[in-house]
Amino acid sequence: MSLSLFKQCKQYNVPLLQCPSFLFVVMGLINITSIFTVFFIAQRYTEEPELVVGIVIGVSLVIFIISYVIVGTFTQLAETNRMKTEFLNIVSHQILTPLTSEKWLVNLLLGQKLGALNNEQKEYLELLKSSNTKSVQLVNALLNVSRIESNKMVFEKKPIDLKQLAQEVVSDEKPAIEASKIFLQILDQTNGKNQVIGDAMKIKLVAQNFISNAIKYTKENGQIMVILKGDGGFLKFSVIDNGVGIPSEEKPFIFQKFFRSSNVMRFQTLGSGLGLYVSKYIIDMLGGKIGFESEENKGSDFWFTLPIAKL
Amino acid sequence: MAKILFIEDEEALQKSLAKALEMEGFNVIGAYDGQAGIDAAIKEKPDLILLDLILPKIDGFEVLKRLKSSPETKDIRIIILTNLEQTQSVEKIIEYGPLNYLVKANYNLDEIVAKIREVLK
Repeated sequence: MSLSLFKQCKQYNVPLLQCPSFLFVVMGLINITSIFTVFFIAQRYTEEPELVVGIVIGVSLVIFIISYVIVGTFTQLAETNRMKTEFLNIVSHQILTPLTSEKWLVNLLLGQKLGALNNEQKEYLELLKSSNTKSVQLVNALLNVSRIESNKMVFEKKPIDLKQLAQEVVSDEKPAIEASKIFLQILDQTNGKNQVIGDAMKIKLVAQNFISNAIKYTKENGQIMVILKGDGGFLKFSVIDNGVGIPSEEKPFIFQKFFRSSNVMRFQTLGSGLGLYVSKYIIDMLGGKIGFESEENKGSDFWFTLPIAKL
Repeated sequence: MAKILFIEDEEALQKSLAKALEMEGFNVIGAYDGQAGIDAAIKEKPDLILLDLILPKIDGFEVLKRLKSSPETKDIRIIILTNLEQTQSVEKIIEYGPLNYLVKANYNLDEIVAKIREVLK
């Protein structure tokens, strides 16, 4: 126990004498010892109450000082955390400018209006374009984390056609789907009631995370089904794949920030470990539910629900 | 042919979007800071202004305020083209009514051009 205590203090990067968890234990020990000491002294020197009162005041003073240090360190940790979030936000915005320049310049060259490209040039520019897209997505994910941590994410609540949104995401992911020779199907089982209330850009991000994860973790010639169906006053959006699945010991951590499955390493895919964390926050804030069922080597079913729009 | 004023301090963005628009037949004027943007808006009377928000000399919020409060420029259509998420700037620009707002890192050039055509229609 004491060993893990020291380790924790080392991780916080504060000296032992300012480390809240360590000081808390010290305070507890002082408390207990002093209560016993006072008890014995009071028993022996019953005719000198001043002594007992003096000791009690002294002990209280020591505890007060220790508490003061603890509170100070907590404040410092909270401030550091706030600065980290702000730093993340500033850096991310700074990086977006050159990334946008790259994107547009590549667009311009690939448009071939400045001159025809040979196949090799085209191929390399396409690679540059897709790495640029990934960079932008990563920076956007970091920006979302900083917005979540500073409570600055704002949500629109408008009717959205979930089927159309699914089709848009699938069409964006087409190159990856074709590269992995995956069969992907959208099944609309809503009888036309496919409108939900929410924020289109943010729901699209969630759908993108689900679908691109399914593609990443499904082997060649795999199958992915995107299913829309009614569930009471809610619409359920599921992405079911027959991919590698999630090991059961990792299931509790799936929606945690920066969590990356051991599968990431095994299948050498990219991922920041932010997608599902951000997704859960978005769906929670829009009044829906998010979850998954998964079996290793069989596949996964990631789903979310959102309130159906009353037309 | 429609005249477009692009107020943006990043050279690569100026050049790439201007090129793309010129090839579509638009007449593009570039301004690299807020003051130059306001001057060009008054002098050139463009049909559309593309406005970044983080700019040298006078920032985009102030440019927007001045354009909207001057009778000469208040009717010019504006597209905000920035990397600031709308949620961060919405309080400062909401008084100018509904504006077209694009986060530029999320759009390809052809999507921006399509949006410009739509607004000019």
